[in-house]
Parts: sequence; structure tokens; C-alpha cells
Amino acid sequence: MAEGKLKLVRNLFARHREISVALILGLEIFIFYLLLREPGRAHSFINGDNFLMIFKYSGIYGIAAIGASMIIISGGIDLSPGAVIALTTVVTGHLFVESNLPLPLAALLGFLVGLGTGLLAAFLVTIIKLPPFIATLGVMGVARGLAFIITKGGFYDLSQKIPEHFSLLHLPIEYWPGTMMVALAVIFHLFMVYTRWGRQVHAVGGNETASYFSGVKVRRIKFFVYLCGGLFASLSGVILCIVHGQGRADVASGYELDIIAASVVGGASLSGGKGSVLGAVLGSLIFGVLRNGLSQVTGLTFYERLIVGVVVVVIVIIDQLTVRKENKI
Amino acid sequence: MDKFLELEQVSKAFGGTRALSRVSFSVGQGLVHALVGENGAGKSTLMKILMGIHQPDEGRILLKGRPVSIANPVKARSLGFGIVFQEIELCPNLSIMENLFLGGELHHRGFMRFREMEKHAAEALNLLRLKLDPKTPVSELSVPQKQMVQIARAIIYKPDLLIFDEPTSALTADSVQHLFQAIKQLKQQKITVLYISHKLQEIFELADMVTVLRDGQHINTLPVSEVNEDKLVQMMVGRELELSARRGEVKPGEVRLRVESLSGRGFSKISFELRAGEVLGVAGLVGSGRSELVETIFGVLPVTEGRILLGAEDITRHSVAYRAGLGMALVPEDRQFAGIIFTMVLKQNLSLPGVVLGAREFGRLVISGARESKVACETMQKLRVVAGSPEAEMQSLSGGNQQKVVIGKWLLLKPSVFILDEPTRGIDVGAKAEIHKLIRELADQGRAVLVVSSELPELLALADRILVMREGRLMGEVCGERRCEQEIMRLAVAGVE
Repeated sequence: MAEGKLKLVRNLFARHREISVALILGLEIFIFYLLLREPGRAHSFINGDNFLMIFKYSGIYGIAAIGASMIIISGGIDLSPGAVIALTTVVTGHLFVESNLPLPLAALLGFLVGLGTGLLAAFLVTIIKLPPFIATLGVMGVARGLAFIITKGGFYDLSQKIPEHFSLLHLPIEYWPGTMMVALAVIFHLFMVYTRWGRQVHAVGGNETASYFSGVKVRRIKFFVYLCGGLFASLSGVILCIVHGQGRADVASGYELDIIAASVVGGASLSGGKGSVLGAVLGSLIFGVLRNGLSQVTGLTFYERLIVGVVVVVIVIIDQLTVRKENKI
Repeated sequence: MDKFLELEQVSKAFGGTRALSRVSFSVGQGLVHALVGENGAGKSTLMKILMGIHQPDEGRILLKGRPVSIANPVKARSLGFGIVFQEIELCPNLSIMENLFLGGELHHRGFMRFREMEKHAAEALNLLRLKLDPKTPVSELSVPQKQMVQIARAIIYKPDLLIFDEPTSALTADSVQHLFQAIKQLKQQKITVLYISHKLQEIFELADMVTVLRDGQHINTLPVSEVNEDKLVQMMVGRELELSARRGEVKPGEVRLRVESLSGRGFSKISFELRAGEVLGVAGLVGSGRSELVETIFGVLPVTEGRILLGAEDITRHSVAYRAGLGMALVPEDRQFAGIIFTMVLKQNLSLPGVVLGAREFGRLVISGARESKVACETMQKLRVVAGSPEAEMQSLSGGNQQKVVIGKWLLLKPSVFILDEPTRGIDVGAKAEIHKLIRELADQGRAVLVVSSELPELLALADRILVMREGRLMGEVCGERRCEQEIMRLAVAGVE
């Protein structure tokens, strides 16, 4: 009886990887609660302002991770999101500051340029049939390069032209990254799990040949996921640009690897077929919380990168051990 | 003639199946000795025993009159046995010389002795009359040249016995001639050749002696000059046919699939018709273009010439999805590679074609997991798929049950043309019988069924008509009273003279 329940719980964990990722996130928050507790003073970690900050930063990763996880589930990889985010901030900033376009229009055009990079990656992968690693490495170079060409070494300061307490649809701009991340994560998680298209992305990642033999239009599915990769990276870029009030060519560098790590921590397999959008977004939050918390623990400043690296590896090792156990039963 | 190699009462069993039972024959020094038999006759087991991969359960092997034990492949090599495999197993990025010495590089304290290796490589290539620089990368060679390098790799160790395992299955007609010349060269060098093949013409052209194996037993060993093709085929097939209950006479309905002088990768100018309610078999050896033909019909491989009509519609240029939507289904030859998605659970594998084509059974806008389970349970019951639940991992299923899933995923779409490529390869007897029953039911329901199989008894039990292919061409059709194994083997192996 007890064994049956145990098996049920274990099955639940194996099927819904998001639960264990959420638990790790909870554990992490608890550890920082203990570490940063100071008697007689307001908690510097557990408070509304700090959580808003965490969501503000994690949202940038998290939104881009939605597209990246879809690509990883389809069996591909995307190295371009960091560069695409930078290019989007630069284009939006240039149009808003230099060309004096209204902000919504500048943001829309910036977004479309970012989407264009997704289109380019999709074209290179499905029509030219380049390996995704190389295709998106190329897109990364092109996007980052264009961003530097446009800024010529400088950056665009949007904050001067954006009002102090700017809000959109009655929601202050600081709340936007987190809100967008959560809303889009839920929508696209459901899309991937419950729709024909989502199922076909999983199928292509699991076994491309068998999918093709079952009638899946493999090229169309791949085109779609790389386009989504560009879409979410560029959405993330527009939000970053407005929230931080800057358009910079050197922003978001190295994000691509953090985003891939977040997807993997969230349950994605780099060999394709496995993973979820929600898992990837929770993975981004794990990193966001970790960075925020470590920056507040005195004396750990120089250890931050080391600890982040170790945490990625440990989480994936634990996962592999539990999966192996599952298969043995 | 001196006896070079003698086998005495050699037996080998794997689990319950006897692969070889008391096989005795001898091979004369310096002769080309052919070994023939159907798939599963025991040829490859015998070969693996000689190469030290398997050990015989009983009996002994004598080399020049002395008993030897061949404990492992290294021992086989030191006894002077070499082998040329069927598949080309070379590293394309390395040079000819590097391939020849792969794993056995000559070295002096870890430093490669290039000059010595080059000398030996040049000698081996010379022996085969190959005018190639040993430093040429293998990727620059043609297929027949690669095959020659395979042989060079075997003779670099100066063997006394060279075994060829169906060496011509990957070769074109003129490169076969090259190979034969090379083998004749080897014979002049007093190297004994054991030549395994089921292409009879080759044996008459090449061999001095022939040994026939059937069902693991030695049937006969005799000089090639004393047999003809018919006699050889009879010895190879000779057993009672194991027919399971055949279908009664059927009256085929309208034409469901029409293939008009179709050419594609590995086959050309094939025409046939498939009618509702009939089971059409396709026979032929591995490499005869059977699988390529059916994969082209299903739209997985491109058509170079000709037309395919499904019902009245020309589908030659349409996608797999379109063909599936019109009522065509293919169960591919390679179940693991092209049939199953191991990252998805059983019910998701079963629902995939339906999901792709937007079948209403799984819900309109979103896929309902509950409905998916319901459909999966129905299919599992119908095909008697043994699995824990519709959510079982595909890895946990046996080969037979996996194959039932690959077949079952198409049933929901009720295809009018059902193509099955090697539907029972590598699965147990029980599942095999169930799949045979299912194929008959499909035909009885008025579907048109096309079955490709390497097992003749299977085709004879299932098919109303059988097409025979050889080297990418349709050699003939066997039906009615001419329906017999020997006739098919004659068409598949020798062709019509």
C-alpha cells in the first residue's frame, strides 16, 4: 500500500519534471532565507521589492528560454538569443532616440528585426540544411555585429525620454518582464503539451525519421520552432530595452548558454524529444534567485560563477540518477 | 587434392534453436569453395565459428589434418584466416594505408613506422592489381575500389584462407567482375577462398566446389561441374513448405494502387496494380530494391520517373502526409529507426499519424489525453499488445509488441492501401502468427495490402500474388499454380534466362 503510493509519487515526479524543478527552487529560496536572516531587521531576501527585482531580471532570460526550449525539444540548439536581444535593444533605441519615432512604433520595428533573425536561422536550418549549431552561431555573429555597427561603440539612452513612473496598460513597467514571462510560459506550455503542433515538435525531437514516416512535415515544424526562437528572443530584447532604458550592443552577452542551461535544468535533453517550456522558465528562475541571493551573501562575490556552474552540473547529475532508477524498475 | 580445412560434426545452438547440427565437410587447398543456403541456413554461424567469434558446442575443426581450437578473432588471424565483410567498414577520413593497418599499426615504441606500412600496403594493392597510392583518402574512392580495399585489408596479414561474406551485395555488375578477377588472383597465390553467397550465377562462374546448407544441416558438398542451377535451388529449398492456413479464394475488387513504370533510388521501370481485398507479396534478396520501392510509393524517397496512382488520383508529387490522408500507410522495414519514437509513451506513438492529420478522435482544438488513452486501449485490445498501460514506455515493450504498435498506429485512419515492409522480422513466433492473422483480416475487410518479406514461407502463406525483384528490376510475378518457393528463388537469384 505504502509502496504503491511511493510508486505513484515517483511516477508523478518522473512524468512532471516541473514539480521537482519547483521543489529545487523552493529549497533554494529556503537556503537563502536562512543565510540572509538577520535578527531584528527586515529580511533583505524575502521581501516584495527583492522578488520584483528577481522577476525583472529572470524575465529577460525566461521569455527567451520559451523559444529556446522549443528548439531544444525539437532536437536543435540556438546560440543566438543573447545577440538577438542586444540587436533588438539597439534597433529600438536607435529608432526611438535618434529617429524620434514614437516608442510603440520603435519597439515594434525592433521586434520585427529580431523576428527577422529567427527567420534567417529557420531558413539556414531547414532550407540550406546547415547543422543548427553552425546556423545559429552564424546568426549570433550577424546579430551582435549589426548591433555594434549601429551603435558605433556607444549606446542609446532611452531613460531620458521615458517618464519616471512609466506604465503600460495600468501595469508599471517593472512588472512587465515577470508578468509576460509567467503568462507566455503558461500559454506556450499548454500549446506544446496539448496541441497538434506541440506534439509534432516533440515527435521530431524524439525521432526525426519515424516522424517523417508518420506524415509529420518535419521541415515545416523545424522552421516554426526557429521562428519562435527569434520571436521570443526579440520580445525579451524589447522589454529589456524599455525596462532598463538602454539600447546597448554589449548587453545580454553569454545569455545563450545561460538559457540553454536553464532549459536543461528544467528537464530538456540536448538530444531532443524531452523537456518543457514551464521547466525552462522555472530553470531561469532558479538561476535568477541564485544570482540575486549570492550577490547579497557577503564574501561570496568572487564565488558566484563557480557556484552557478556547480549547481547546473549537480542538478543534471541528480536528474540522470533518478531517471536511470526509473528505467530499471 | 590436399585437404586444407576439415569440419567434423560441428554443432552450435543458440538457446533453443540449432543453428548448425553436425555439419561435416572439407575444403581443398587452394580452391574457391562456395557456401550456399537460404537466410537462416547457418552460413553466417559457420563463418563466425571459423573467425573465432562463436565456439562450436560439439565437433572439431582440423587445419591441414591437425585439430585446432579457434578461441577468438586474434587466434583466427594467427592461424591464417582472413575475412572480407559484406558491409564496407572503412573510415572514409583516413587514407588507404591507415585503413589497412587500422588497429594493428606497425610501430616502434609508439611511433608509427610509416615507411614499412607503406611498403606492405603497396604490396597488398599490387597483388589485387590496384593502381592506387596507399596515401589516397578512402573518401575519394569509388564503391568497388572501397570493396577492393576491404580485401586488401584482409590479405595484409597474408592469410592462407580468405572468407568472403556475400561480397557482391553492394556492388554493380562491372565491379563484380573486378572482384572476381581479384579472387582469381588470390587463387593463383595459392590462397584458399571460402565464398558465401546466394547468387547462383556467381558460384558457377567462380567456384570449384560448392557446399549446400539448409536449416543448419549439411546437405551436400560436390564439384560445381556436377550441378546445375535447378539442382542447386532444389537442394537449398528442399524442405516441406510450412504453410499456415491460407486464405480462401478471393475476388479482388477495384484497383486501389497503380504503379506505372516507376523508377527511383535503387530500382527502375516497375509497374503493377494492387486491388482491394488482395494481398500482394514482394519477394527478392536484400538489396534488390524492395524497400526502396515501397518507400518511394509512400513518398519517403523521391520518384525519378513514372507515376503512382492512389485510387484515381496521381500522388507522384505529393507529400507523405497527403498520401497518409488519402488512405495509404507504411510499416517501415527498420522498426527502431523509422517506426518508433522512444521519447514518447505508447499511446502517443499510437496516436501520432492521427494527430498529424488532425483526426477528430483526439479532440478538436487540443489533444485530450483521456481520449488518446481510450483510442490506445481499443487498438491494444484489438492487436493484443502486451503492455502495462497506455502510458508505458516503448523501451519496456518486447520487439513483437513494438511492431504491433507500429502497425496499430495506422489502424485508426482506416487506410485503403496498407504497405508492410518485413512485418515480422526479428519477432517471436506468437506475435508473428498474430500479425499474419491481422494482415488477412485487413484484406478481408477490403483493404489492399502489400507485403515485402525476405521469408518465402511467410509470403507464400499470406500473398495472393507475389512479385519477384532482382537488382532493382521486376523479374516476374508468381501466382496460382506456379506459386512455389523454387520458382521464386529461381527468379530472385538467377533471373529469367
